Amino acid sequence: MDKSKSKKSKTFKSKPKASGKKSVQYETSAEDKFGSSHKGRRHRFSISHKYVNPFPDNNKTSTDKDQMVQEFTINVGQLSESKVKHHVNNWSKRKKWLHSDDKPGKIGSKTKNTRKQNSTEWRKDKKNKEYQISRKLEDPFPGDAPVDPKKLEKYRRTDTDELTEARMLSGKPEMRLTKAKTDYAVELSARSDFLLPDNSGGIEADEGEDTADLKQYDIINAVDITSASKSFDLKLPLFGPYHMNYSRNGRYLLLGGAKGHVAAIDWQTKKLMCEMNVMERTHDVKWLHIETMFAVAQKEWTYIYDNQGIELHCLKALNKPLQLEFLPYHFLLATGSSEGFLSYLDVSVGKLVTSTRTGYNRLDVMCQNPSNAVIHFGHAGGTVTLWSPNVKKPLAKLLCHHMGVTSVAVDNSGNYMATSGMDRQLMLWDLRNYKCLHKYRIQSGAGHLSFSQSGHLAASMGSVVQVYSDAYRQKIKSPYLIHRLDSCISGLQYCNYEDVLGVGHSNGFSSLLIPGAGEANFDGFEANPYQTKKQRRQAEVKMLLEKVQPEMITLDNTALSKVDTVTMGRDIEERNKLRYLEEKKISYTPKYRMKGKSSGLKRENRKQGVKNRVIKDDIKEILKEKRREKREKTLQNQRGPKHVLDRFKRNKE
Amino acid sequence: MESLLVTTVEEDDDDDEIQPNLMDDESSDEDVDDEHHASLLSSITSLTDQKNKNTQQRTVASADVSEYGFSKLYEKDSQVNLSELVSSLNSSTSAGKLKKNIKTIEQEKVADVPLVKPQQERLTRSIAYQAKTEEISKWQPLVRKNRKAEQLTFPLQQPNLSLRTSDEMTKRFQARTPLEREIAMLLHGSDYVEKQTKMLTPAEERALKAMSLEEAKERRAELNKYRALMTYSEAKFRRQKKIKSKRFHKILRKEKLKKEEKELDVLQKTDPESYLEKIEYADRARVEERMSLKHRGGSKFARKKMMYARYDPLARQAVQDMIEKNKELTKKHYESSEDDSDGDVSMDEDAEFRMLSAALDTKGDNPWMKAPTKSSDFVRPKKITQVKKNTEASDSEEEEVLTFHPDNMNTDKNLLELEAQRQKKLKLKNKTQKVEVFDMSNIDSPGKEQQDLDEDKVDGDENDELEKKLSESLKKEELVTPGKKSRKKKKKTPKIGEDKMADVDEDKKDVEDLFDILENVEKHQAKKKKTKKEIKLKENSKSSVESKKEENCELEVNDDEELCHSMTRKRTMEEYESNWVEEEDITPAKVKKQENSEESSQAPNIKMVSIDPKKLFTIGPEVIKSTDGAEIVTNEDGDNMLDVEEEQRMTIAQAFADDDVIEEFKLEKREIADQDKPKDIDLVLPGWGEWGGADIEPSRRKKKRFTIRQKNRAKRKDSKMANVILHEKKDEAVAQHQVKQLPRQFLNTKQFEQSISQPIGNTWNPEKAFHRMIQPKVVTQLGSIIKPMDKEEMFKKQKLDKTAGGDFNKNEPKKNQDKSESRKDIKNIKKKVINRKRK
Repeated sequence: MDKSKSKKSKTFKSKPKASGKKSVQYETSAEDKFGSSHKGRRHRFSISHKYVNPFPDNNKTSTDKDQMVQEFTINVGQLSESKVKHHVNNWSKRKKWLHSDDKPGKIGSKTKNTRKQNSTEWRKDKKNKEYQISRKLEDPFPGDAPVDPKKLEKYRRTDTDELTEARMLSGKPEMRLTKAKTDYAVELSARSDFLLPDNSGGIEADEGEDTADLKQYDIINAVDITSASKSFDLKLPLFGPYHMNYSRNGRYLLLGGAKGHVAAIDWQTKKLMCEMNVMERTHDVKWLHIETMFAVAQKEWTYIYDNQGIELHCLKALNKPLQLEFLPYHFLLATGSSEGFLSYLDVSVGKLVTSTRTGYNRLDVMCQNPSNAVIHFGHAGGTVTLWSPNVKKPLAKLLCHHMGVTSVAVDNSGNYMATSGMDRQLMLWDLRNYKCLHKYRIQSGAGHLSFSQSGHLAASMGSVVQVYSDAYRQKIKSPYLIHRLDSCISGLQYCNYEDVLGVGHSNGFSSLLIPGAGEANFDGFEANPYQTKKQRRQAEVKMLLEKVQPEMITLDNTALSKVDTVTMGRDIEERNKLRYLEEKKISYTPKYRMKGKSSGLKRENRKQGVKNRVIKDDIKEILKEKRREKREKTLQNQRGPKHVLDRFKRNKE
Repeated sequence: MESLLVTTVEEDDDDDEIQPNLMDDESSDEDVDDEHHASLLSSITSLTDQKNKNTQQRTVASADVSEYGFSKLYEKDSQVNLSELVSSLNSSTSAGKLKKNIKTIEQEKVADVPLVKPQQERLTRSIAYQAKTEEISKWQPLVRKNRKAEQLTFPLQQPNLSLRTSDEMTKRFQARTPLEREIAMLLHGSDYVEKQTKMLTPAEERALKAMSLEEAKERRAELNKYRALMTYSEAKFRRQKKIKSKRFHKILRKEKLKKEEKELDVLQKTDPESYLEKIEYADRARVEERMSLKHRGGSKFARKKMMYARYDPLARQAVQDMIEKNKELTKKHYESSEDDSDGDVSMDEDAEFRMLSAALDTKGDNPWMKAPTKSSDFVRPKKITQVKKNTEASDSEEEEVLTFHPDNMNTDKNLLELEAQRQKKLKLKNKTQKVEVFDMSNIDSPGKEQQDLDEDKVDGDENDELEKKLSESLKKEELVTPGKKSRKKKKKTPKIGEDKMADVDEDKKDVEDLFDILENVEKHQAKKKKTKKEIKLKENSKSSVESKKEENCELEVNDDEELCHSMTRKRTMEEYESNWVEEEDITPAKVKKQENSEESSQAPNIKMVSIDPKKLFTIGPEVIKSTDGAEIVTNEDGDNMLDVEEEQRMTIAQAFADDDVIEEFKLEKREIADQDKPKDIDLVLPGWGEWGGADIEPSRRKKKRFTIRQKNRAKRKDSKMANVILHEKKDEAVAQHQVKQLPRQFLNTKQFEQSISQPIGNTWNPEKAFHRMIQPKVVTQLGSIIKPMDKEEMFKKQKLDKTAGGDFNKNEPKKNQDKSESRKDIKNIKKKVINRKRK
């Protein structure tokens, strides 16, 4: 099959080209977005609104009309059916008189009866007409324009359908209010969706051609100068294979040579921030929350340097690190050590949060899930484990490959994971149900994997980088782009908000253009590539204020907004167990006493006193019993589990 | 006694039956009469009869049975009234006291016996309660509204600070001053004033109604027609404007002139004063023009234009226009008759003739009438003389005509006039003259009129002669004119010896000649100053100028060529560019092609791996087809071979690796599952109650009895996922922050989760939504007193809200004033008190 296919393509290619043109469409993603900063909306799509002619055809029968109404509701979505019906009826009425107005000459020919009818109708119509002419015309489309239901769906985080009935009457308006507020927020964000104007670009191949045939220089030739300048190579042959890391806003690049060369670069302006040799073997480099600090995993310990290259900290708590991950919302620096320890260090306070012994040897395959800050490790046994700082055992353990896992990557949404193993397989997993979505054979096991913001997957195989577009939604037929380097690849990462893939290799670093890789619309409050110094400072403060505690790291993102049903159930059970104090019916008639002691008040007081005494006694008894139970329990706990011979024990009480 | 009786009668119905008797008895007591007595008896008997009847009818036992047979009458109508009983008193004159008493009784109402106190209080309380509830229930909707409100801002009664709209203002406006009132009256009554609710005024509506459909159609059609006509004419004018033919324009001008003249004629007849004014105006313009020579080329503008005219057709045109203007202005406006004789082409020849003859007649007689000719003589004596030289044979009339020649010769404007004159002459004079004049006219426009010339059979020789004469005349003119212009600014002229250019360029446009003339004038001035050498030089340079001109021409030609060249070049450039583009397109493509071919030759052919039917991995791997290979051998077959080998190696490795990995994983999973499982507690004591020993097992029954079985927990989440182990234990860290108790108003957990899962922060919400999310339930204004809700105010406000925005702040200042006043009063009083004490 393959052979024939390739041959076909071959023959086609050998033919002289009819069109003779290869269209390379390229759009820069974050090129021209300076100043457009808005919040929290990442994805974009385009929808054309459908509006239905408000004049229904008069010739149609009533059933047809109903159908029309149906259609109307479907299309508009936002308007309630009754409202729409009202509209349609209104229009139909108006249409009626318009219709009769069209043929005034015919009235004369009709019989008297019809004429009369007509005249009455005419009068009615006249009224209508006056209404029409009156200055305060009614808006035919009152209220706001309807919002596309798809967009609404996109911004809806929760359903609000349950928020209608409350247990108490007084709670009802409150509940309605929360519903209204939620709906309002959703609608507003759907309405402001149009503020995200930019589309991510991409390459479209002509028929019978493949984008994978395009080389980097083709792309560079096709794009504008600024974009072309983003493709560059750094030849650093001396200090061996390079690890690399882009800062979160995609502006800064950190290079770490295995032989100790560390450099921080503002790669867009090609300005070197600092460069040094740590005179030690480095395993990994990572930017911290801002571009003034970065961590380097060195031979013995982890170090933190500032952007001048000055050593700020030597983190001896994170020893023998192999891999680094920084969780920006939690300010946690996670390391996988060569001794099998996963350690979390809170960068904001400089304290070790936890250090977990994973039970594996070398933790050299590591990545984080950007959506829930769970750390993924790939192991030699073909397993991938998921970790949080709160649980000493892996949250989940997946058997992904038959042989050792070479690299793991999780996409931005946190729903998909890509793994590659020594068994030359590339697998895509759905992390919601831990099922394998796709499974591919590649020439050799991918040494590194990286997801871009728009869902491109880059895989390095030796000295070749292959890029797959939209890897998890559909089956990959062929790579999107292929780039071959002259040396072995040691680091791979997409740059955020740019159509750039950074590749660190043994001979330096090269930056590749991958059209359509970056997110087109950046959120200036989240990560601003054009951040000024002041903005950076403010952002840092804000980040610190909004710091998420490490306890919040769970597999399920929505865990916090969920009720702890287990404990709730237990509590309820316990409450039900409790013996309720039933008020005893005390039939006591106070004796008659002399000397005015039997006045109504006094009698009542006497009665109450007796009642209280009885209740008190009851409570005392119950409490006594409870205490006894408790003591028993503690005793039992002290003794440990029930022993075989416990039954021969004599109760002390 | 009597009154008491009566009251009892009224109160107790039971005694009704007895009363009539008693009353009757009393009455009978007072005046005993037989008749009365008889009647009484009869009535009694009748009663008894009734009673008898009743008793007979009665079937049910009743309490009121009397021995007299009286029984209660159940029918209402049959009840006895006091008035009925006392009616007999009215007829009688006696018993006045009784009557009085009865009257007072009738008027008086006696109060009930008051209720017992507690009962009374209860009643009043219940009534008060009802009233209060009613009153309070008025607040109900308000309270409900406030409770439901998203936000309450205290104080609740806030003055309406919104600005009034213009509509409201107009609504409130009242005409006060007399002027305003007057205007209001006018406006109010007028049909032309818009009303609030309608789009059109009544007048407009009427107008709309008044126009019938047909009328409207007609009007529309008419309008369309006019519009079409307008466009036609517009198009026509545009076309005419574009026409370059001078002759055409001449004709046009002529027509215009004629029209004007006609108008003048009419004016003369109808409005002689304005006619005179016009003529005077024209005369004055002429005189001014002659004085200033503004349009003759004396102005700076003119000189400049003339300089550029040679090269710039626009400038040339401007100069020509100017000259024409000059001519127009300097033209003497004759008396109407002469005017007619001058210009009318289309006039009837007879009429013309008549007019002319009349003119001739007058000439001889009236010397004043000859003035025009003389004046023309005066204007340009030399020219005229010259022309006279030319036309020696011509008579006075012709002279008169010819006076125009020198000026007119070079311009097109009066050509038609000339022709007209020629026609006249044809009639009046011999033919030789005609030819001459004709030729003169024809010099100007050699192009098309050449044909006419041919038709008229003009000799070329004569033509030549004429030309010579003309040139001579021109020369003379040159000589003459400088004198006039000597006062003007001198100007350096770069070109020399163009005085003779006129001769050379005779065929050229007359305007150019004029420029030459003017230029030469200046040159002449220069000449005067300069030596003769220079003159010689000039003469010499004439040829050089010619050559220059030639060069110019050449240059022009060159330019044209260049232009053409450039044009062609451009085209070729485009072609070149397109070619280049094509090349650009092609080259990489070609290169790519080559590469592709190379690559494709290199491309490995990867076989699908046979799917490993392992139970854990159900999905078979897919091979990503790629043209590029990392470690690829160029030879396809070799690659294939390698692939196979590799495949084998891999499969073997996998086969071994798989077992280990999968088995290990399974084992681990089982272990973990077992760990998590609650274990049964075995409480069996071997040997207790039965034989024990090394080999003896306790009986099954006992085992069953003494093991505490744990309840089977829910299945593990990963029980159906073979390749996954999930951590089942609860994450205590998060559980600390989770809600453990459902808030009271929520019906279920889902509802609660929905209510809190919408994030509130501005990171996730648009700014507006965020503010709405966090807005407080109650807002109080700083420093403002929060009074309890005032009933009057609140309800008034509601009312006002319904009607229109009221002004609450009106009363407030007054109150304040009152307060302050009262405070003052209090102070005063205190002072007074203190003073008194002191005293």
